[in-house]
Parts: sequence; C-alpha cells; structure tokens
Amino acid sequence: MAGARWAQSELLDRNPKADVRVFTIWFRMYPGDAESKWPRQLLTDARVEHRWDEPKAAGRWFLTRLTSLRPSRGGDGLFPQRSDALWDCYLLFDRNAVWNDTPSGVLSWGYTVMRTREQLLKDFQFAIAPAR
Amino acid sequence: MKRVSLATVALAVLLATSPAAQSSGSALRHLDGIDELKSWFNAGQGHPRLIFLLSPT
Repeated sequence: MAGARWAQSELLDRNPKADVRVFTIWFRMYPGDAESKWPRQLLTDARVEHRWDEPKAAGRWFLTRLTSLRPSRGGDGLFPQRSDALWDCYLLFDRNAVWNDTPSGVLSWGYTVMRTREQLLKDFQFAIAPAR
Repeated sequence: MKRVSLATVALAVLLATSPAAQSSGSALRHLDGIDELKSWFNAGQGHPRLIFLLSPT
C-alpha cells in the first residue's frame, strides 16, 4: 500500500495534467487480505481504475509472461520468488503500446513498487512527455 | 433557522458529490478476466498506461 500512496503523491498529484491512464488490480496475497480491506482512500485520482481480482488472473498472467515483456528503459528484472502471481508490482507502457498476444511498449516494470520507484519515476516522466 | 437548513442541505450535497464520497460509496468492481484488462489497455492507445498489481495489506 505504500507504493499506491507514493504513486498518488509523487506521480499523479505532481502531474495533474499528465494524460496517463492507470489500472490498479487488487488481490489477496497475504492471509487476512480481503476485498473488504481495499484501501479506497488510496489512488483516488480520476485517471485511475480499480478492480478486485479474486482469482489473481492478472498477477498469474503477468508472472508467466515476464520473459515475453520487453523493457526498453531498465527495470532490474527481479520478481517475486515462490509466488503464484506477480504482485506489489508496476508495469509502465508507452503511448504506442498495443496488446495482441502480449502487450508491447513496455517502458519498465518493477517489483516492489517502493524498491523500484526511482526507475518508475524516471520512466513516468519520459512517458508523459509530449508525443515526439 | 431556514438559513441553517439551507446550509445543511448544501453541505450534504457537497459531501455526497465529492470524489471521496463517490469512492467510499461505490463497491470495488471485479476484474472480468484478463480480457477486461486487455480491452482497457488497447482502448488507451495514445496514452501512457500504468498497471499496478497490489494486495490490500
């Protein structure tokens, strides 16, 4: 949740006119996690969509396809070990990204959000710059 | 008295329509599989897109 709090303040609040779109997927990873514990006070920005993913479909999908993603601007390649889903993670894509079999245009991804936040901040600034 | 009532109504409307109130009053939608994410992704072409995968603790 620290990552979500940081993203709201350092990415979205500081760039209110950025035309970024954000999709946040919540799911259970720890005992005691539950939909009812969704922190609705976080990432309240209008550019953010939220979903609950009970079967961890998105986290499982990305975990099994990490090797298909093509970061072009970094990311340190660490990901959760002994886990059934990619979580506490961000994936940032450029304006031209298209998802056919897998999404293209990966700028970077990182695990955990807080550990890799400097990379995210750097790539976020690159991504929201006016189209070149 | 009437002035107080109007102020109360105005405050109630303001609170009810604030983003925070809308957020707290709405349930968290469930993801409709990876296809929903894919559709959102492709609908956002022309925009940078950021996906977070998070747990609520």
